[in-house]
Amino acid sequence: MEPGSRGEILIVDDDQAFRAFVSALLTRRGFKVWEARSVRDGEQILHASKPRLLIVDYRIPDMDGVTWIGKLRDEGNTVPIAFVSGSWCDHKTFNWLRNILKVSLVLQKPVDPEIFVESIDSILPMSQYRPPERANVEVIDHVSIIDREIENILREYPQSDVVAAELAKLGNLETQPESVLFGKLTNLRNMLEVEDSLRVARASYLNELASTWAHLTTVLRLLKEDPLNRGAVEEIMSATHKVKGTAGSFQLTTIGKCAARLENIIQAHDPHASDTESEIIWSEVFRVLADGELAIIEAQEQFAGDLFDTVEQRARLLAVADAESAEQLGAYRNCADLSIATSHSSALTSLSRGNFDAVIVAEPFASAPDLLSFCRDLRLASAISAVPLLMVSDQLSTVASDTLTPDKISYAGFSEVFPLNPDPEALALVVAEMVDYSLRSKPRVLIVDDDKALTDFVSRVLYLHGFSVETLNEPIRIIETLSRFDPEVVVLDVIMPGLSGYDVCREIRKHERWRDLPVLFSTAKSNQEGRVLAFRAGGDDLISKPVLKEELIARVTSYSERTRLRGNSIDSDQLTKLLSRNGFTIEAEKRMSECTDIEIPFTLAFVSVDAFDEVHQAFGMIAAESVLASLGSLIRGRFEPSVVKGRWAERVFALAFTDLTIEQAEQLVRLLDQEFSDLEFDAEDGASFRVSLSVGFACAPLQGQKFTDVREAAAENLLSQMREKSPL
Amino acid sequence: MIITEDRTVLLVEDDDHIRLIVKISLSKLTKWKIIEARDGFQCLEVAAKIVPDLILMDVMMPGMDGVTTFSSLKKNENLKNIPVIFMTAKVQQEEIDDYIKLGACGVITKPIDPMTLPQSIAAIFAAKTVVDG
Repeated sequence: MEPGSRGEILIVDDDQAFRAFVSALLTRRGFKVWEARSVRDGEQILHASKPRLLIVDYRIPDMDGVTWIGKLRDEGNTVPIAFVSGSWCDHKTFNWLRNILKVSLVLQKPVDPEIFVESIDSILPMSQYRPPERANVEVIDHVSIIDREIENILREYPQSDVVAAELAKLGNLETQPESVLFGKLTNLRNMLEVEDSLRVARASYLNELASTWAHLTTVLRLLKEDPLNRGAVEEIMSATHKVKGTAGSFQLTTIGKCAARLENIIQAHDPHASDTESEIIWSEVFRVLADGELAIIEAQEQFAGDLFDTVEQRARLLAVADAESAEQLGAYRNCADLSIATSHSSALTSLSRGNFDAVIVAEPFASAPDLLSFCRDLRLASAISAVPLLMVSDQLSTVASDTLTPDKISYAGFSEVFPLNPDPEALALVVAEMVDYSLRSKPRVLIVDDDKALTDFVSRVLYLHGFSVETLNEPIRIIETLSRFDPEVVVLDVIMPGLSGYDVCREIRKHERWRDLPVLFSTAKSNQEGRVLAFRAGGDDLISKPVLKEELIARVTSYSERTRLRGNSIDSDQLTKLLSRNGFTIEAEKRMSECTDIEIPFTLAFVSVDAFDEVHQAFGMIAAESVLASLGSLIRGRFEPSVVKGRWAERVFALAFTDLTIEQAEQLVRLLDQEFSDLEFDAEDGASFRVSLSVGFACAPLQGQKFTDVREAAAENLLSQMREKSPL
Repeated sequence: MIITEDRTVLLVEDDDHIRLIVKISLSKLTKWKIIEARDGFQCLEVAAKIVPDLILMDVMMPGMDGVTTFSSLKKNENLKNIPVIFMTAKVQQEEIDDYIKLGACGVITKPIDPMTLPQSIAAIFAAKTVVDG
């Protein structure tokens, strides 16, 4: 039978399982069923539609059913009503309902589906409804209604552990009476509602808990400064006791346990303990505080979506595509936020305004003849110095393969070429790599502390605030970690077994390279004595323990900015915006050691402008400068992001390739030479001229294990090529 | 089972969050009517007016704590027969025994499990019925 062909029925009941049950039964018998969970919703539906029958529950959240029916009758509404109640009506109520309120039917839950349907059929006016032949009535399949409700629940709560556990307990559906099964499912619905409500309540509790925990940290600091502070002890005891009960009840077990542990420690707190004893106790307090803070952050991450949209870090991609191929980029939306630009100019504008992790070039732009120059413009427009490029094209093999060789694609800057409908896993991997690359441009902080609980906490906090963090639990390995990670700020614990924080700082300061690297001591001794010791050891500032999140972030941010400002002036070249010789050396040395570690080739190239002095003399200083600037911007716009680029000397540029042999690198640099040699420069006198390049290569490990060896070999090769071209 | 009966429960708890958790649990999983009080004074005031079927009370509260409120209830002819269940985050068995000796109907320890709270309360009543005959 057509749904709705027999008219509309409104059910008002806050019990969702019962509504679903009624709806399933009556829809199949040709009714359109409106569901309302409160009188308010019910009245709205009554205003908007003309149901033939109301089914009203006794218990409704905002008004009881009897009162509401009375109100409807007072207003002159004569619609037939079926009254449903969870408990038996006494004789008086029954009479009241039937005779005064003109209720057509009084039913008790749980209802038998067959009786229910027959009763409903019986009270609806015959003129509008001709009962079908008995044979046409769909046989009510008891199990299928239960099945349907189970299906509904599974669909609505696909990942709930409660659903899984309770459904597992249901037992054999065939052998149990329907009313019993329905009772169980109703109970499950109720439990799920508890879960839903708790989730929202928990998200708001977590926000409060974060500030409670920060306050607890502050009061613990007070107690540490003054062990006789009774007020602090009482405040801590009461706060931890409360968190223990409340966090635990929200199923935030770890946080509850941390609070309980703190309560116990402070309860046993002896203001006259010896220095050694209190040092042990306080280090335990710091550790528990850090554990709790971490658990709060993790819970906030886990439950944040319950209060507002998750603030998940997703890659931001800009796709340059026409409408047709934009539509086919669906797979990319699954692993990243995708913006579309449909023309060269809109791509360049978006890129200069927005902070994109990578750019996808799709058809028709990918096989357009001006691809090379467009890529260069993209690179120069982007805020990231060498924005990763990704090509998406199905036409490569046919149309463009003659002109667009793999070398050319790599030279143009593309890290990867994907077909239109890529393998999702491979795609996700590449996108992750791209984001990882943009992570490299985040400020780097090194945390040194022997206590892993503390480094975990501090690194998590800093990571969430946009820092790239590395932790070191063995201070003895400080120098090798600094060389590898090259942090902009170091946070150093003072008290560690073996080397103290002061020792580590003195060790760092022995090296020229890290003489100005900001070192922040995290210490429980933030008094005058602590300061003097820290500054004497060469530290820049102190962070008091227990660590306050806000203070940590503020300090680390301001010191990392200081390093960056200074670094920029030393490490980058004014004219070409490439790395300076110093910056290039640091970066290239790092890459070379990475390559050596995993045994892949590393190639260094020095590129020099031929006959630069002659150009200078013949065409003037401005023309000579513009030659260097053009070569700089050409280099900046080309090659994959992994290629390190720098200006080595006035007329010499440097390129470092990871995972490329000399032969492979030669192919790429040849393309640079070709493109550059095609450029025409204008002299001051109006004449135009061209310039060629000389290149010297060297490779690790072939030419040596040390960067200096490779560097000297490459310089030697460059000189011999220059001598070949213009013998003295 | 008592969960399905209409009853009035007076919930006495100073912590907003715990009150919310208990309320969510009882209002969704039982048919009980829940009335809230934030401290001992409010508890006595409300109890005198509505005479609840059950009082669920936190032990540690500012102002008048649970135990003091409990003895005030016991001194009042109209209120002394209302069963009282204590909620506490202290878990020493001696403490629980102390409350029972005082005349409490039972003790529920925090953290509470909102999914099984009604059953825990029902279990306390069932045990009580067996003991009292």
